[in-house]
Amino acid sequence: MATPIGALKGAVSESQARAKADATERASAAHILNPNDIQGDYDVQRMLVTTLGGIQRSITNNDLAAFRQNARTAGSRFKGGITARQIIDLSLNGDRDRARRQITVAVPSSAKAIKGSGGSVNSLEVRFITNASRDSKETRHHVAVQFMGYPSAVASGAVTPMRAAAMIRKQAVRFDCDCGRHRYWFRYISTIGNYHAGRAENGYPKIRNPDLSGVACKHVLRVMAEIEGSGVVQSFLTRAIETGRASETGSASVRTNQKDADRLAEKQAARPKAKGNTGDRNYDRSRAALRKSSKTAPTHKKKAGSGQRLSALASKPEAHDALMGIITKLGITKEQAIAIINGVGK
Amino acid sequence: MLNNVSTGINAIARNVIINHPNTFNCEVYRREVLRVSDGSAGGAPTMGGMMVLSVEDESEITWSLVGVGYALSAEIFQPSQMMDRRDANNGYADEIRFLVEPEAIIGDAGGFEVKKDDVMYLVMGVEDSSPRIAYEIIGVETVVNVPPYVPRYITNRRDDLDIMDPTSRDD
Repeated sequence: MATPIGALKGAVSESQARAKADATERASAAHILNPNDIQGDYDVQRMLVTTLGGIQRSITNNDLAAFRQNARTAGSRFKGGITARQIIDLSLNGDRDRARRQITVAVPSSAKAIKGSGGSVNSLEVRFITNASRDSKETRHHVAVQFMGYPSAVASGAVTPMRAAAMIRKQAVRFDCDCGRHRYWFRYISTIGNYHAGRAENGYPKIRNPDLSGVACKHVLRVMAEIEGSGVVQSFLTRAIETGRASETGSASVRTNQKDADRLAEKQAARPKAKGNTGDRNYDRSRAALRKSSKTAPTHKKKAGSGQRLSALASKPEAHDALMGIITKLGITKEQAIAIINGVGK
Repeated sequence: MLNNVSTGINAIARNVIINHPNTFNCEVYRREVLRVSDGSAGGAPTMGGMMVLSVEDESEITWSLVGVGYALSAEIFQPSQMMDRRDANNGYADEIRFLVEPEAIIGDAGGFEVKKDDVMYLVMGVEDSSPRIAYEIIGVETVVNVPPYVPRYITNRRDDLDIMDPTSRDD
């Protein structure tokens, strides 16, 4: 059976080709608001636009001040690296929601120790393949994650490779994704936060994300969830650390074979998609407990007046305005009130 | 004794709350902390985890049913934005006050006291499948300055905990 992740052979070159195409496009882009512009060198005749404040309009001097402030805030937020947990916790609810519903598969395909300028290994880059959502023109996306704790995990003989793998997945990471969401919304934030694994982006996202909100796209979030909780990622990292310890310099290169990857992807895709999950496991667990205990709540001896009225009138459209009047006084939005009336009238 | 006044008001209030036409059935839930601590940190005794002052700061919690009761909105109406059609308003408050009475009084089986940090579900209807909307008790206030006092509960909406369709596995 063909799985959404496709062939692993050629995956790295596909990812590199996409990165190259992205860099070429970026190099010829005309409407980039670069750091010098933000500093105050912006030429008004360039007529760049922003959506800051909600409407698309030309950039003013005040916008530049707002951009400077946003960049300062976002840049200082993640000093010292970002962890998988932080990425999930700080991401936007909409992204988490999409990650949960649309991205079912995230498989580690290959890993390579990355060498820094001095020639020594400074991180382990693991390439993950995720499926693309149904509306996407792609069939899969490549997410690169660099584990910054790798060199010390390799060098330290104090713990077993497996323990070391468990440690590095809780430590700082850098990441990159080849999707448009990452490219236009988040790459600038990851660049100024210094946790980008691919091409650096200096152009302010003046149109898509002028407030600099969010951290990661749905593909990255799915991968981070896998990094945090999956046994497969743990054993993959263990293999990389074992290889790194065996070599003199800590360099390592490991791959997942096609059969294992397909089996893993099928297993992941078959998992039930929990709808109510937010990604915060403690919260989700407590919310599920609340729902569960609500199901066992004893019935009331007396049916209260408002409840009776709601049940009696919810199926009558002519009474909806009156019911709305009652319900909206309880601090409920109009949409929620309509959902409640529909729920009662079922 | 002056205490008779507040005791009397409480008795009357209970009667009114349970029988008022605007009363909702409600369910009250309380947090239980799952974290286990040995009661000391670095040799010094501690009440909670790092930076934890009360149950509301705990992250690892579960919920258990305290009991069922009746809740009557006791919010005094204040000027509110109207809908464009001008046939209803959108409400005004982030904080809503409720009078809450447990079905059984304290001392009887199933009797309980509503406390701060509890979460209350208002049952929107009379069926088991009726939607339930959540409020968290953020404070308790009294309107009479004589023990045993007459409590009124200040709540915040917790729309993240709403159960719109109790029959579904999750919504």
